[in-house]
Formats: sequence, structure tokens, C-alpha cells
Amino acid sequence: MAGKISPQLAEDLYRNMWKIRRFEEEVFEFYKNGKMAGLAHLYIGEEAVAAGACAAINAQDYIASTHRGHGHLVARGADMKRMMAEILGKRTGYSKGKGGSMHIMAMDLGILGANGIVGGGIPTATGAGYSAKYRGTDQVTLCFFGDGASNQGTFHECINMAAAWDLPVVYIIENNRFGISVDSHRVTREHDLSKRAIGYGIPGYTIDGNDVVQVYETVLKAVEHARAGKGPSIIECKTWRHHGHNGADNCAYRDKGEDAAWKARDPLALFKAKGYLTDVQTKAIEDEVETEIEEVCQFAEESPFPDASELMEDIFVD
Amino acid sequence: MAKVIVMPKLGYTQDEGAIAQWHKKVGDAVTKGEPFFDVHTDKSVVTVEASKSGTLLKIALEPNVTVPVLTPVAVVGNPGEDADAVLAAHVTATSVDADVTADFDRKDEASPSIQDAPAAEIADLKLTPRAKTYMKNNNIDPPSAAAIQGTGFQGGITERDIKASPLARKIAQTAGVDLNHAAGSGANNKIMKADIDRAATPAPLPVGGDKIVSLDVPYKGVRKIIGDRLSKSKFTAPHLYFTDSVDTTSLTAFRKMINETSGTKYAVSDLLIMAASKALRKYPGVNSALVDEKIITYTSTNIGMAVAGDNGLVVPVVKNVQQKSLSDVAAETRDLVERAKTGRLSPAEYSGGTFSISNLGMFGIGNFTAIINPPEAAILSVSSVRKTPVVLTDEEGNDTIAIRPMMNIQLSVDHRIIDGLLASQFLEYIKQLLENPVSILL
Amino acid sequence: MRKIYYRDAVLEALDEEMARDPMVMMIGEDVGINDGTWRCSKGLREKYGDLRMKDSPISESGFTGMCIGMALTGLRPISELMFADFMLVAMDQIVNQMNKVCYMSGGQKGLPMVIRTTIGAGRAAAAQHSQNLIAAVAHFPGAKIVMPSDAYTAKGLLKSAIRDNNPVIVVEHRKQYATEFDMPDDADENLLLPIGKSRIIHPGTDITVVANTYMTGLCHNVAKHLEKEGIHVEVIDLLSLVPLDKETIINSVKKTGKLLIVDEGCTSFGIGAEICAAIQDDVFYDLDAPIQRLCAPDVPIPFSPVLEKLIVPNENTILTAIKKLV
Repeated sequence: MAGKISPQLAEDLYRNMWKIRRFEEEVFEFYKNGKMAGLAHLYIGEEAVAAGACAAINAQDYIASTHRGHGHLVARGADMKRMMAEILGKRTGYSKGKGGSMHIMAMDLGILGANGIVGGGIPTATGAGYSAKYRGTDQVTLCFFGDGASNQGTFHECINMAAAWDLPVVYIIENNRFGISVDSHRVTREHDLSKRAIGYGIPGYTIDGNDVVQVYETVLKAVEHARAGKGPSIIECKTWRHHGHNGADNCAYRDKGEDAAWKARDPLALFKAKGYLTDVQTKAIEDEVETEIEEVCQFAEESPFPDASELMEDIFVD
Repeated sequence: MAKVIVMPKLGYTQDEGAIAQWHKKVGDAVTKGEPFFDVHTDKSVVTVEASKSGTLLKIALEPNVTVPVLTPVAVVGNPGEDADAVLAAHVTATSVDADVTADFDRKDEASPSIQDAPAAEIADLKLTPRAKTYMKNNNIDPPSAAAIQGTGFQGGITERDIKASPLARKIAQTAGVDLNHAAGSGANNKIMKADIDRAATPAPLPVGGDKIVSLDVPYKGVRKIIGDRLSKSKFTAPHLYFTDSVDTTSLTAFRKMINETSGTKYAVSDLLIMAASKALRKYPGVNSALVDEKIITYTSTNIGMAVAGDNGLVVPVVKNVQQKSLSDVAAETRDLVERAKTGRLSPAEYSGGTFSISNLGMFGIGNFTAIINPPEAAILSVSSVRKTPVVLTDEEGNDTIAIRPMMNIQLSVDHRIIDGLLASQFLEYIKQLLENPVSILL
Repeated sequence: MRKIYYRDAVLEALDEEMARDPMVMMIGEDVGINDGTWRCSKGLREKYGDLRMKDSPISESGFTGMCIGMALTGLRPISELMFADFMLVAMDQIVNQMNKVCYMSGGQKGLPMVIRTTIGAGRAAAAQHSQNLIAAVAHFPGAKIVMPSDAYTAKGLLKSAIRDNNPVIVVEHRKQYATEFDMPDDADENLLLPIGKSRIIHPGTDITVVANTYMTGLCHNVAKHLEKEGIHVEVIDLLSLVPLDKETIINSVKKTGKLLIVDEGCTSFGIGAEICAAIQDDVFYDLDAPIQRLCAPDVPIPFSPVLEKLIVPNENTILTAIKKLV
């Protein structure tokens, strides 16, 4: 029955969304206070997509993420301490400080990596799908990317191959409507991006990306389809990012009314309103997460930076 | 616990910001997530939400004042907390990606020095780096290299040119052929054995025009090097000349006596060298050189004796004459001069002099002026002995004319280092020594 | 000593490595049913199956990028890019992704993948199918690059590349596929040539010439001829571009004092420029002449064979360049 989920799953979904929310808020704090360098692309507002999708896969599956990827990583169970340390450029980070926010990889969790090039991770995810088929496992790969990436050549090339060869990949378009300042409606005629699936001969779904349960159920369906050897699907999750593309963006290009309407549909609030959990339960989760977040921030702040002697290491392995 | 709110760094390229508008007043409650203040960044106006709930205790920055990012702008906390104390205790951070501050006075570790280049006295010679290295490793003095025709890039002298073809060199020496005049038929005009053979048989001379050419050789090699050096000396050092005549009666008699006594043949030059050394010790100002804006005076009297070699003037040097006896000097000079004439001196043997003597007496010249041998300060020219009528004054002051064997000597000095008084004193002293030759040996 | 065509040496390497390790596979345009445009994968699809010798659509970026995902998850993939010119289509996946995954992950995972591609002007394939642009790719740290020059090195280097746990780009020369070479007896299934070492194929004392791929053979011919004139040319076969075997080149230049670099790529910003700068500190005082390069001029490769012949180094221009320096 649609919408029916186990109590455990309800807790896990809420916990992951709350973790993402708090993690991203602290990332932004670090950024504003000059402790994080580079660019911070915050996932705030899109938590339901990452949490719902990652709940639909198993430990041995893969995910590929984007420049706006902290949400996917947290939902997948990455160590937030090592994530935050990496984001601050510390040597205790996942990549010893060498990758940064946009390039975190954790192979032990099947996280193939975030990617700084829009659409740059789609071939990697597709290759993991090919690899699973090649090796005869039933591993599935979730490939996250945005409306912007759906217009990159690699989108077409890879989904075409995945469809032609029945690769076990689920392509999840996080459609937050804007590629930095450009409304996708201005640069794409067909606004329902999942209709492209017709061209590839595969299933396509357009859903409410702020409804974590709907995300979970749809992704689960596509994952089972892929695991059964039937090939890829495209799932378009309509959602909204609360903040700008990155910190300095004041979103002047977005309609204020539309912005308010979407913010009123905050995925965390929506989920709470559905009543899967009591207020006591949600409060307990929030407190638990708060303690964890404090430890994460402390760890990251206190960790040392990499030493100059490490600069030239890790270009190659032995 | 009160917290300092700073001017946020929002943009990748943002170093400064200003408050455009406060959405709260001091004393207002601030709730996490609500609009708190608007910031002018370098690109736009951005609304900043409160990241913490509390009471706005203090506003530390008024609107439209531009400050660097991370400067405190407010304090949020519980009512009653001491905002000023919190502000005072706050240390403004530097952004983690701030540019490296220039520090021009920093003493860096000395960069590892590149291996010392072989010293090149010869700016005129175009030597390849490899050629220079070869010269340094084999103690080849630049003037030696000057004799070589370069076959390298843009006519430079390569290592191989210096080595030339050993066979070719040897044969050239035996055949008395000047390698500079032998056209090379090897790759890039390198001189091969065949070329030497051909050069040993001179080609017929060109005839034509008003002037019949008897010799047509390039002005280059050793001759050019020497010529260039002397030109440089003449045009750089202001030469000042002092002349006198020496009555050689006693000198000739003295020389005859010591030759008979010792059985060794002492040349006039030997006595000149000894006299010069003694004079230089008495007047060390003449035993000097101008080097890198410094006047250096030496205690070593290294006397060069100019010799006419095959390619022009060569000046072998007898070193530290002040420590040597006349017989030492004689033996050494004889050996050096002989080898100078045949071009077999080592670089050390024709460098390092502090004073030179040019004796053209054997050619019968009456008087001549020599050019200083750089970097020395003076040179003595010695002419031939000629019977000359002179005025002699006896003890009573009566003048008579006599015929004496007079020898003109001339001192050329570098007026930057030696002035008239010193030069005169020096020359007169030499004259005294030569006219009282026993004093040379004392 | 047997004789073998270059393309068959490549085929041997592929076949042996695919037999030895079931994780080795290749993907590219026309590699499967068509046996490969250059016939280097003849029969391999029949032998190993479709998944292991995969015909791809014309999606260089897509399938080269897929090799990254495959390499991350246990496979040892080879992407064949038919012409080096097509590397440019996949450039983001190659230099922004493949080259950087290991470093950006802090060394968590090296990518054991290979890109096989081809260069070679001289067959009137015109500007977009004739470039030797590998120096441009070499500028991005993160991949090794090898350039075999005959059947022996084609086999030995490809096998080493496949077994390397890092990205390796193998650059083959189209003019050599149909050339027969002598194959030494040690070129069996264990032949692994080291990546990062050049070899001296003709020792000499008067001048050092560094060449790669097809140019190596031409320089060798010229060197053999010049022996008769008493000029002793030392020819170094580059074999490895990244890492560069500076030591071999430096030792040679210290001996001869002169260096000529011969390369088909454009003159500016190329292999010659890099070698010259890279060894400068070590050979400055040993040089009898400035280092010279004989390369193509800085011009898109013209179609007309008459014009094309002017720009690609050949035995005559190589001879002239050597004599000018010696």
C-alpha cells in the first residue's frame, strides 16, 4: 500500500533528513566564518530526495553524486566527521584534504564520488552499472544529478548505452528548476524531464521530490526493475533548493511567491505532518543528531591541515 | 552563551562586505532561520538568516560601512550578557583561503648554487658551455683557446674544436702550419689531417690591382687577442712616459766579469730583471694593479720579459724574483724564452706578472715606448747601446764631453696608479742600479 | 626470431591479458564484430564474448567515462579511442575525471584503466584525423603515457599498461600497424616492459636524437646511414612520455653535447619543448649547441599530400637537422 512504511524506516528517513539539514547548516556557518574555503553548494530543501532514494538500496549498491552532494553522502551513511574534515581541507578528511566538498569518495560505502563537473559523474555511474552486469552481481547504481546535467552530452550518451545494454542504473534527476540562475524552463522545452525516457525506451517517472515516502517508493520500484536485469529508469524529483546556488547567491532570479510556496513545503515539515512519528520521537532524533553534529564540528575544526610533504602523494598508487 | 556574529564570507571572490539593512533592533528576539540582516557583497545584496536563536544584544556595525569579511557586526545571546566583553575577547579570524602575505625581507634558504662557471677572462671568445667546462677541467687558459677557430653554433668554439683533431694539432706543429690558416674540410669546416697537409704547401698568391699581395691572412687568433688586449690597455690606462739614458760601461764590464767567473752566460736581460725586482721592492707603488676599483700592491715581484714569438708578443713571467738568485733567474729565463719562441708555454707561465720589461736592444733600436701589459701598472722599455756624446762633470764642476755607451730606458706608467714623482724616482733608481751593477746583487 | 605485424603484437597482448585476468575488457567503436578498425582485436569478441569486447555507440565521452566507473568497481577496462583526435571529445572524462580520481580521493582508489589511441599523419586524413596531440594530454598530471615504436614494445608496453593499477594512455602509430617487425624470442606471454624507461636503439658519440613511435624508425635509418660518413648518432627511443626517462637522455647528452628531438606533433608547447626544459639544468654545461627540435610547424595538418609531406619529419629533413647540429 502506497505510503505505508515501517516505523524503523520512518525513523531512518527522518533521521537522515535531519542530519543532512543540520550538517548543511553547519557547513554554511563554517563558510560564512571563513573556515571553509572554496564553494559551498548546500542541499538544504532537497533532503527528501537523498534520504528517500538511499533508503531504497542495499549496502553493496553504488551511488554517484554531484557538486551538491553532501546530502547523498550523509544519507548513504558516510562518516560525517570525515566529511566535514574534508570540507574544511583537513588531512583527516575522506580525501586527506585533497578533494574537498565536491570530490568526496568513500568506496567502502559504494560512494563512487561527488563530482565538480556538471554531468561528470554520469559516465562513472553507468560504468559501475556495466561492471555489475559484467561481474554477474545484482548490484544497482543510483546516479544523482540535476536539471542542468540533464542537458549535458553525457546524459544522453550514457542513458542510451545503459538502456541499450540493460544496465542496472537508476538515473535520478533532482530538478530544482535552476542551473545557477537559469530557469530550466527557459532552456528546455519539455519541462517534465522524465519524458526523455520515452526516447530511450525505458521507464520514466516525475514525482514530488519533497515527499520522502514517494521518493522512496518510486526509487525502490526502479531499483527492483534494475536488479531484475530489466535495465535503467529515469526518475525526475521536482524539488527546490532553499539557498542560492552557493553562498553569495541571493536568488534574485527566482520568483518570490514561488520561493515562498516551495519553502512552505519543507520536506522535513511535510514528513512530520504525515504523522509517521510522534513529536517525542522527532525531538529525540533531533537531540541525538544535535549531539552528533557538535562532535562532527569539533572534530573537523580541531583536525590538522595536511602537511606540505603530502602534496605530491596520491597521484598514483603502487 | 553570547556569540559574535561576523560579516559573513558568502562569495568565492568576496573579501569585503557592508550591511545594507538590519532586520532587527537591539533587544529584539532573533529566531533561527529568520532574515537577520542584508549584506552588500561584491555581486549583490544577500539576505542573511539568523543561524542561532537569541536576543540581539549589540549591533557593532552600522549600515553602508564596508569592512573586511569576518569583521564582527553583532552579538546575539541571552538578555543581560555582557556583549562588550564578548566582543573584546573576540579574535577576528583570517579566512582559511586568504592570499599568502608578501614578506620581501624574509631570508629564504640560499638556493643551491649552480656549479661555479669556469672563470672566463675572455668575454670576446664565444665558447659553448661544454667547451668552458672542458677548459676548466683541463686547466686550459683562455688565450690558448683564442687560437682556435670555432665550428659551433653561430661560430662558437666547441669542446671538439678545442681538442681539435690531435693528429691535426701534432702535424700542424711539426709542419709549422698555423691551424688558423688551414681551411677545414671536415664537418662544419673542422680541420682534418688532409687540410694540414694541404696548408703546408702554400697556395699561389693572388696578383692584380696596384698592390701586389704578398701575404693575405685573417687578423684573428692569438695576434688578434694580443692586439685587442694591447688596444684595450692603451685606450684605458692613461700612459705617462719617463725617459732616461744609462751609461752601460760598468754594466758591460760587470757582465763580462761574472760570465768569465761563473762559466754561465748571463744575459743583460737577467740583470735587468734583477734590477727591476730590487727597484720594485724599494718602490712598491710601482708593483701594483688596478683591479675592480681597487689598487692592489704586491710583495711578489713577478717580472715578465717580452719575447717576440711566432704569433706576436709573448711575455713569460719569472715569479717571485725577490727570492731568487741571479743564476736562478738566468736559468729560468733562458728556458722560458726558448719555449716562448716556439709557443710551448703553459698558461701559468705567461700570466701573473706584476711588472714587465721589453728589451729590444738586440735589434739596435735607439728609443722606443712600450705599452703597459694589463693589469700591470708599468713597463720598462730597454733600447740598444749606442756610442753617444755625453757631458761629464768632474768633482770640481768642470764639464767635458765624452763618448759613452749609452742605453735609453723608458718607463711607461698607468697614471691612474702611479704619478710622476714615483715614476721618476723609480726610473732613476733603476738607472743607478744599472750604472752600479754590483748593487743589483746586494 | 619470428616476424610479426605490429597490429598482431597488439592483438597478442590483448588476448594474453584477457585470458590471464577475467576482469580485463575493452570497449570502443568497431572493436568487436569488425575486429577493430586497425584489426587489433581480431577474433576477441568471439573468444571472450560481447561484454568483454564491447562495440560502443559513438559516445567517446560516455564510454571512456564509463571505464572510470568500471575501474572503481573491480574491472580493468581498456577504452579504445580510434584516433587521438577523438580524445578531445572525451577530454573532460580523461583529464578532469580519470586523471584526478585517485588524487581527489586522497589515494583511496587508483584507476586500473587503459586508454589505447592512435596517432600518425602522412595519409591525407586531414586536420581532425592526423594530430599527435599527446603532449597536450601529458600536461595534466595523473596518467602515465607510453609510446611504443615497434611490435616488441607495442606488446610489452600494452601488457604493462593493463597490469598497472593507474591510468595509462597507450599511443600507437597508425602507419606501423601493417608493418612487419622482428620479434625477439623473449616476447612471450610474460613480456612486460617497464613504464618510465627509454631505450638507446643506436649508440653514438656525436649527437643525441630523441624520437618516438614511427619517427624512431626513421631516425634509426638515418643514423645507420650517417655511420658511413663518420658521424655517430645516438638514437634514443622515447617509449615513455609520462614519466619521462630524463636520466637516459641526460646521460646521453652529457656524452655527446648535442640534442635533437624529433616529433610529429606541432612545434610549440610540445614534446620537444618539454624535454628541452626538463633536462636543461642537468646538461647546461655539457652543451655544445642549443637543443633543437624537428617537429611539424604550428599549422592544422593540411589535406593535400603535397602539403602534408612538408610538415611531417622524414628521413631527409632528419638528416639535414642532424648535420646542421653536428
